[in-house]
Amino acid sequence: MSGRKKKGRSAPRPSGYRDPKPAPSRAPKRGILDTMFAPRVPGSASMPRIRTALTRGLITVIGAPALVIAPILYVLVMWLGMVAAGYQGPFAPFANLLSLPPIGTSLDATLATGLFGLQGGLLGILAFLAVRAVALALLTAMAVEALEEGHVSSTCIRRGLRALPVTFAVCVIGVGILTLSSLFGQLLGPGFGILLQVGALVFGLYLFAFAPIVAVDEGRSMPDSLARSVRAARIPGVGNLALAALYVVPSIALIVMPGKPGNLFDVNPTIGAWVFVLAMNLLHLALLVTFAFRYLSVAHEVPEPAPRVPKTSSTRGRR
Amino acid sequence: VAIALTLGIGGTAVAATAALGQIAIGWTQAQGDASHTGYVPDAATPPFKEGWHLSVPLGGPASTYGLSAPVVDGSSVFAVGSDAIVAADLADGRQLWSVDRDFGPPTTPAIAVTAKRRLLIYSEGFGPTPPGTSATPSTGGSSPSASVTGPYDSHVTALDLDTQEPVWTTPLQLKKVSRTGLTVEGNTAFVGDHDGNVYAIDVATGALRWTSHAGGLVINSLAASGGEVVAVVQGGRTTRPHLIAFKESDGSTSWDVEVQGGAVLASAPAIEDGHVIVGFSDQTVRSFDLSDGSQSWSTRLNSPVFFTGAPALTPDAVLVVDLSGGVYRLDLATGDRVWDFALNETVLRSPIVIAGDRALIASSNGHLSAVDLSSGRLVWQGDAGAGILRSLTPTSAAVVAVRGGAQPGLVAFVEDPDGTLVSVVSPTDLDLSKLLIAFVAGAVPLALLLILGGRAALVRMGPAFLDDDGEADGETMGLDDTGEDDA
Repeated sequence: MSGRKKKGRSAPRPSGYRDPKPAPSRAPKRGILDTMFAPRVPGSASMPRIRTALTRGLITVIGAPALVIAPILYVLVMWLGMVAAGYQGPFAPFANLLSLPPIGTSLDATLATGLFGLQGGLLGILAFLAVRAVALALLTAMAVEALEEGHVSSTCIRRGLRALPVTFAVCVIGVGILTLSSLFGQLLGPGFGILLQVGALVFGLYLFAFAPIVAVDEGRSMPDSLARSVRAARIPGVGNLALAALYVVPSIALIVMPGKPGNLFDVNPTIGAWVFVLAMNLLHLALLVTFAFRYLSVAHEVPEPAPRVPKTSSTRGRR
Repeated sequence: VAIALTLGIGGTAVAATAALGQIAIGWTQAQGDASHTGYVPDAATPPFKEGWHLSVPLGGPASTYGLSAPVVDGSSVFAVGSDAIVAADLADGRQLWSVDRDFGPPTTPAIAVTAKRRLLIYSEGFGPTPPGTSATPSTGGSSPSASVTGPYDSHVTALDLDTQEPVWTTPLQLKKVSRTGLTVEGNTAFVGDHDGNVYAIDVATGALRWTSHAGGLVINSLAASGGEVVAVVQGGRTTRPHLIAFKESDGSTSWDVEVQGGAVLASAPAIEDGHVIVGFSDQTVRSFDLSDGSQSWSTRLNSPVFFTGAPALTPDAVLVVDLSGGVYRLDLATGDRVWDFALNETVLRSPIVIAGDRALIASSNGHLSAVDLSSGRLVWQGDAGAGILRSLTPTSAAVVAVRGGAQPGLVAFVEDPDGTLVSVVSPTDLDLSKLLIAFVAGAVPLALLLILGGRAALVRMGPAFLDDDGEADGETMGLDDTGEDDA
């Protein structure tokens, strides 16, 4: 939990919320997978509409100069670093530099293998993931602070760094999702394989998009943040899956779109290429703020995991 | 009577044509010579202009087959079409003759010289089911149908270049369709087929000297040097590509090396000074030791090398072009990148060649480009023609190439005394001031526009969340009038 001045969020609206059913007698397990397969909790009426949340995300980004300038400088620094490391382009893939995992991690994999080859890329991708985790943590902290406080201050650096394990875990999970979907996609053939890979990206974003926000806003541990992200995503009837799909599909289209600026091997991007890449990254950041806004709006409605039932003495005594 | 003398200059044959009283560079087979160096030390240099164009219609049932890579002997150019062989005068492009050929893939022929005659050796035949036919005999209609009972329709034959008559008593029968083209080293011709069979053929008689099996699909031309003939076997869904070397003398296997990494397809090999150089689909160029097949080095490129490509070699440099038009000079001994130039044009079916101190590249959009060998700068680029340009054949008089598209046939580029050279730095060379100027010019207006617009929009929209004592506002909170989600 942060020690910031707490601002009020929406009063819970009538949503047909029902008390959860009594826990079954057997000891419940806790963890990400259990959260994933647990019964869904009742729907939330506090979740902002997708359109409204997208607008809020965009306005929040362009309304906070730090959220505009930081990504722009980040893209410049990353590009110069990549060029120094021997990367020769194209520049256009950097339009997805700030895309959320697992889309962003697919760019990391592409850049790492492009720079270091297939075998060297396996190690190189860890470095890319670490950089992405830092950027994601700091930008998430900035986004949350901009939403809650209306401005961005230096305190978000501390909050962001605290969320670093979570953002790194989300990035690693993203790589895992990409790897598994790629492996199984090959087995299914080109048609169904692509569907599987796109579906995996959507599902990965759907489940774990809230995790960095949870970590930044509530200071939870990595497993707890991941599990809470899954529970928040699975609140029924709020369109989280639709939002994930709405984000993933255009992002993939952006990757494969022909004729976009910066598509050539050129280490000196044109003005048009810079405008295109920077604008796309600001849109990605707006999506991050969108997810943050949606989570913060329903954070109080996300159910806590069922408490562990202490083992009875009779059970404990049985050996 | 033309007398061809083969002089070993940089691995390239130089033929003297006594009848014409002039010395012409001979490019007698794929990439010029048996080791496929693709290097002519004394060739026509840019600036170029189009000297002549010989129109040769596309062949095959759907008019999709163009000409093979041309070969040059003295003052004549020869190319194989899908159903004919065409000879043209190098000086003016006039068609000298045309000889029918069995329908087959337009593979690169090779010129060989025996004591009695000059030969053009080539493969022909598409097997039992050539394109445009059905596998089973038809009972009627005009569509041709393949015979499945006769001998397999794939063979190698030789033509006397002076009389245009067949030289061998019978063509050499192959077991499968061949697309490798012919490689001639001394008095032996080498050819491979789709099944991986490699054949050594006596040039004078057409007799089979030996045959061996490479163990997979062989579609690139074989390279021969130092008593070894090297074949590249393409990988597949479950197999990796591998290189295999046979002894030229008896066809026994000298070594067989599987290529590690993610490569599936491989370019044609080229050999220089004991190094076998091959480009791969995993964006690498690799060097293998000709004596034992061990990999000496591997260098990464920006894009894959297409399997129809090939490297070009000088005594100390490897020149290679990748699929996206990246031209690279690598050190032959170490594989270190000396320079690169990004043409940013697709190069699909045209190996890079070296003409003097220039690397020449033909692109799929029809450009012929020349890059200086020492500086890595683009020194000349021609206008795009009406279709793909490929299969460059540099000679002392002109650079001959195959043109596709709307005006298919042979085209020759000759030196243009009125032309001018340029010196263009590769876009992959960092120009920090140019980069930062473009960044500032793009980023600053964008940021200012967004920040100013954002301020106004934020004031209009209000804060995302209200203070604890504030009143809950559905619109501010991101809810619509009904408080329902639109999804």
